Amino acid sequence: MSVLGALLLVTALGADPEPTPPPDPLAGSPNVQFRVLEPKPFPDALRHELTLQPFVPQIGSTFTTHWLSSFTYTFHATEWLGLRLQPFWVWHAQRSRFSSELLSRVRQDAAAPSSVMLQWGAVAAPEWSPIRGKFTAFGGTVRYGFVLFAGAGVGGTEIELKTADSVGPATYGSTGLRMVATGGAGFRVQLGQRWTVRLEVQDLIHWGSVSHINGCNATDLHTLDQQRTSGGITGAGVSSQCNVGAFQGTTGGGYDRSNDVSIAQAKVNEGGSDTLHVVGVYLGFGVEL
Amino acid sequence: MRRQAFLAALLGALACAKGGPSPELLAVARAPDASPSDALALGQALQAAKLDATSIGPLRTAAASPGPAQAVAIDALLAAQARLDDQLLVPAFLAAHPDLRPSTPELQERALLLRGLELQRTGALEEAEKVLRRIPAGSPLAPRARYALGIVLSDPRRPGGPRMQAALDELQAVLDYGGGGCEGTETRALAQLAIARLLYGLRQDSASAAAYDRVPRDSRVWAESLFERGYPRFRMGDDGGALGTVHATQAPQLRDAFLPEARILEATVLFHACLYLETRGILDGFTGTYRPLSERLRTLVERRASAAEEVALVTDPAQRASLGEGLGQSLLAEPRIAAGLRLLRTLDAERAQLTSVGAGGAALEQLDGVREEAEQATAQSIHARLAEVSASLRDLLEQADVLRFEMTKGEKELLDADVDQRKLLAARSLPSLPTGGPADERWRVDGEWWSDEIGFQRATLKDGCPAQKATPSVR
Repeated sequence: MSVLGALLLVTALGADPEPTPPPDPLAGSPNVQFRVLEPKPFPDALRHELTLQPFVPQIGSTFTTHWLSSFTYTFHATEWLGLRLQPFWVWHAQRSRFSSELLSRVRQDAAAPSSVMLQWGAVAAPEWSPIRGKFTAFGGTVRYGFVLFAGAGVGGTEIELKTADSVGPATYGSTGLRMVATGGAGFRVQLGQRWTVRLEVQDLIHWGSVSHINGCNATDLHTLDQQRTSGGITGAGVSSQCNVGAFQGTTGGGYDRSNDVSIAQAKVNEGGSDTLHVVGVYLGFGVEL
Repeated sequence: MRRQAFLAALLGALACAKGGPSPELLAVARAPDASPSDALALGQALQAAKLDATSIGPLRTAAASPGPAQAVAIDALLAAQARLDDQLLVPAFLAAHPDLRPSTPELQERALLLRGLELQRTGALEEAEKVLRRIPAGSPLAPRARYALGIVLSDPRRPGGPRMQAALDELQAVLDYGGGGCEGTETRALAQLAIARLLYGLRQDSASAAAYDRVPRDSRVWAESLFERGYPRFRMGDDGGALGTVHATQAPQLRDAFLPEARILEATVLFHACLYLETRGILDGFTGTYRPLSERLRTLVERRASAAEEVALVTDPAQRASLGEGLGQSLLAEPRIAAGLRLLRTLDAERAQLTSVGAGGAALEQLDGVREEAEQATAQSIHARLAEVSASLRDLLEQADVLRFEMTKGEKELLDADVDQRKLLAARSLPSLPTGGPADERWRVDGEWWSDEIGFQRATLKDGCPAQKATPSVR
């Protein structure tokens, strides 16, 4: 049994597989060695695995908090190697409690590049299972594998403009499509022929400066801001990528969205860049076909 | 007779409704010696009162006497046999009365099977073959019959000699039958083991090893197959495979299996590699364990204890434990012994039932008669098995002595050739273990015995024989 297997055994169940047998005359012999060569009861090669990770919390966040759901398709090319495709959707992303307190108590906002949040995305990664183990539970043997993976993909991002206050909820501006790199590790437990449970820690990494908000660059935002102060946003003279509509009208709470223009302009003008990590704990339930 | 049978059946039904036999019910029938119809009436009344084991006595009396009661009695007897799964009394009765003919084709097939199995057991192979061949291939009893036929055909005592290919064909056909519940599964496992043994006998070692591998892990005979498959592997030259599979029989999960021969095969493999120290360790362990047992068994077998004492040897946990090393448990697992003990337990329960309602007379007399016979038959099976084990242990102890002698010879030859085997072994490295394929899991053997790993152990061993010396030919 591997070290990891022993660890799991002790921490999770603490059960001996069987009582101690009588002394074996060959046990200490330097001239004889034994090994178990056991066919995998549930081979993975050329099988497809679908895993749903319904609630993934972000851990260790500084300025942002993400909750997401993810779906992972894994093609096991061999017993050891697979390829995973993982779309995800962030259904809850907002300023972290730390960031909110920073803003409310000392009026210090996080730098714009550090406040960008993921909205959705998809990553592809090869998966490697270098270690396998097993432990006994409920009279049976449960097999698990330690998996490592790393890859890349794309993701949609956004940034908070107006913070949530008495006037209404927070407003957000799109910061565009960005490259997302990913890496992670975890355990994959196989329950019978078909069912799997995965517990993984995965980092979704994205980075870059905030140069556009809702497709509008600094010049566009300057133009829009001038239009706003002189009566109303018309959208004349801005680039075609600039989504002027995102700065027009009011929110459900009556907040005038044109007010976001100056905030967006300030964030774009901040400059700088950052590497952002969305480290999440992925508990997934899968089926192997 | 019809009136009396009707009355017995009616009262039997009433007795069932009340939850047990009534004294009135049992009083309606007179002593069965009076006439076959009276015996039949008593047998039917007992069956109606769910006293199947006791009913065997009067039903046999009725079935053995020609007349109108005979056919009904034989049908009732077979029904009781099926419910009790009796493998001792009814089969022996059927074998002794080959002309009895049950009324339906299904019962006729059952009677043929029971008769055939009994004839096979008693060594009347020619008769057994004829009887078993009469069971049609489409019968639900065909797998059991064809398995028995395969064994008969491969028996070296068969008149005209064994017909191995025909036996293999019959056994292979058994594997193609599906279903059959637990009995079907057991029959297929037995057939698989028999195929492996026959292939080994035909020196088709590779096919034999593969056939042994296919014996289902959850079958009663798996532990036996695990050890036996060491033989074809050893003869194929796969010493590591042979040693691995034989070594696995030491797993505590297999403590109820009685496999002394496994230790001798283990020692033989080690001796073949001139690993004398290890061979001696195994042989010493073997002798230390099995010589006292062999002596105990010899005394037991020669003493010819009473039937009750021999049965108690297996049923009494303390006496069973005194047999040691899995022998007691393996006796319990023997189908014929297990069936005998089951019948005895049923008879004891029926006695309690009869005495609790104050019934006596004919019924109790019948019960006592049946019980005595059942006890005798069970004791005979136990005695035969103990005698077989005792003889086998004596052989194995002799083989251990031969191995020791050969080892001493080998060590002397090393001394004569001025070879220091310790240095020789230290200079040689262990051949690498097989790595298996990508779908194989490799586990270290570190003293733990995992159930799922048993049977997948492989060994690598150094060759302790000096290069110029041919390895001892023991294959």
